[in-house]
Amino acid sequence: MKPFELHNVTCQIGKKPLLEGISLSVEKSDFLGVIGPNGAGKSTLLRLLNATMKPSGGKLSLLGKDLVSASQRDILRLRRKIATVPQIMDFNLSIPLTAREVVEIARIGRNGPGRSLSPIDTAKMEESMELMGISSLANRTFRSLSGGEKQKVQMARVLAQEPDILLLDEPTSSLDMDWQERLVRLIEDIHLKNKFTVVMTTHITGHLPSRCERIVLLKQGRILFDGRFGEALTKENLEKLYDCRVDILSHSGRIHCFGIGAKE
Amino acid sequence: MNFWGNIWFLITAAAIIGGGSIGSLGVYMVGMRLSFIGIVISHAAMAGGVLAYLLGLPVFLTSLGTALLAALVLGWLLNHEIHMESDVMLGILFSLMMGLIFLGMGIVRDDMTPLLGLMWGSLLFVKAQDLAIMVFLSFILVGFLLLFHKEMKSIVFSRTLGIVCGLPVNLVTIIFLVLSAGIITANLNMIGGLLIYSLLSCPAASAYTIGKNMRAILILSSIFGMLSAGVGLAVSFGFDLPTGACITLTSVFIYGMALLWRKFNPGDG
Repeated sequence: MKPFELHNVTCQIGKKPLLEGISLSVEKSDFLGVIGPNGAGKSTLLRLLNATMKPSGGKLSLLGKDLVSASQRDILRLRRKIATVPQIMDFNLSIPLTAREVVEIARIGRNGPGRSLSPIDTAKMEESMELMGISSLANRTFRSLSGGEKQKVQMARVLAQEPDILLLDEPTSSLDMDWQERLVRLIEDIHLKNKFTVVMTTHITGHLPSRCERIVLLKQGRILFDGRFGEALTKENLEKLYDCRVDILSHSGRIHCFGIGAKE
Repeated sequence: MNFWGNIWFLITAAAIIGGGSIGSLGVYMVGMRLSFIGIVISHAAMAGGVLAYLLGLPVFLTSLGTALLAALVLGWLLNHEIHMESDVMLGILFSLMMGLIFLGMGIVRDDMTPLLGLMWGSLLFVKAQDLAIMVFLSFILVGFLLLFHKEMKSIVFSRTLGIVCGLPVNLVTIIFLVLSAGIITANLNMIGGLLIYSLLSCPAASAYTIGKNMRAILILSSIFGMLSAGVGLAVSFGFDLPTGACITLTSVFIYGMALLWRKFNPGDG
């Protein structure tokens, strides 16, 4: 069973198409990078993949389940196996939840409604927080943490969920340079140790870890290129993707792309 | 127990149970930044009361019916992306309810006292049957919180996070709103539709100001709700003042005290 398969998937809100004719599938433990400019449809693709949106057309199979015909109960079950770090999170920071309580949300969802947390849940939460190096922050309120610490709590939360698929929507976007780099290494480490399927979107090529074997370039809701890391991130492809002149620099197995002016 | 003993037992019990249960609801409504939901539901119950008066229907059941209808509409709107700010959506529903209430009051030509009672409330109108309903609904609220406090806490913190983690956000929200409709309607006679908003927002706001965690906030908000209703009632009786107004002003006074407490005891943020 493939983690997900999309066949000619279309997605639109009203008459506005967000994704058109997307066909894509991954194997278990793959690391897929999705790159595209703002408005390319990256977040919409992730919303389809975490079952918070249904396609308008085509076929989408998630963990062997057809999303279009899935019942609400099936959708909830799917979401419990798919961990997401959304780009925009509506955290209500007036609520004094501790870091541990934020991590706990993953286990509450995983267990299903109305169930108490078991010692296994607690052990998994502690293990996840230890892996992320935030055990000492567990009893601090989430709102009192720095941006980087909050992102680590989020990563501990997705680890505690023990997902089959991990979706990361521009996870480095709100971090400073130091934390961006630390997070990229953290994501690499998580993938190496856990072997679950990872899909990461970004518009910064240099933030894709070297473990990302496959890249999809997305532009205006369509796949511009789908292939191996080195083949996808070429000067020619990136100039087509961003509609500007670019220069690329390869460093430590990662490819950094710079805009150097408008196309002539 | 003599007649007055019975009456005061009823009034005191109603004040404490009503204040406590509405104070608990407020924690989640204020937490979801949707405290205006309470005023929409209470006005829907008032509109039901006016309708019942006009058509000669049972007041409680009609008020409960319209409050439940409003709760279900609110739940549907919250659970669907309707591309409108939630306060605008609530404002429109509130306007609809106010329009219906004043239309009904305009049609009624005779004694308006029962209708004004729905607006301002009075503990002196509380009957044993009202108290029994309030106790029953409070038990359901406690059961709901024992089962779903974890889920509600998560949804209040981040609805998006709840959804992506597979929590049944829509279902829990609907159950909460339906329960709120029942509790608000049961308390309509006591506090009145216009003033119930203060009991939903002030005790919860006070609890959020000084509470260190969600459990403490929930307990504090219930206690502040009980205190607002209990002290408000005593002041009302002692100085022969309107009960609803005294309860409201007491809840605002408690909020002022909570702000002072916070000023002199800043927490870890």
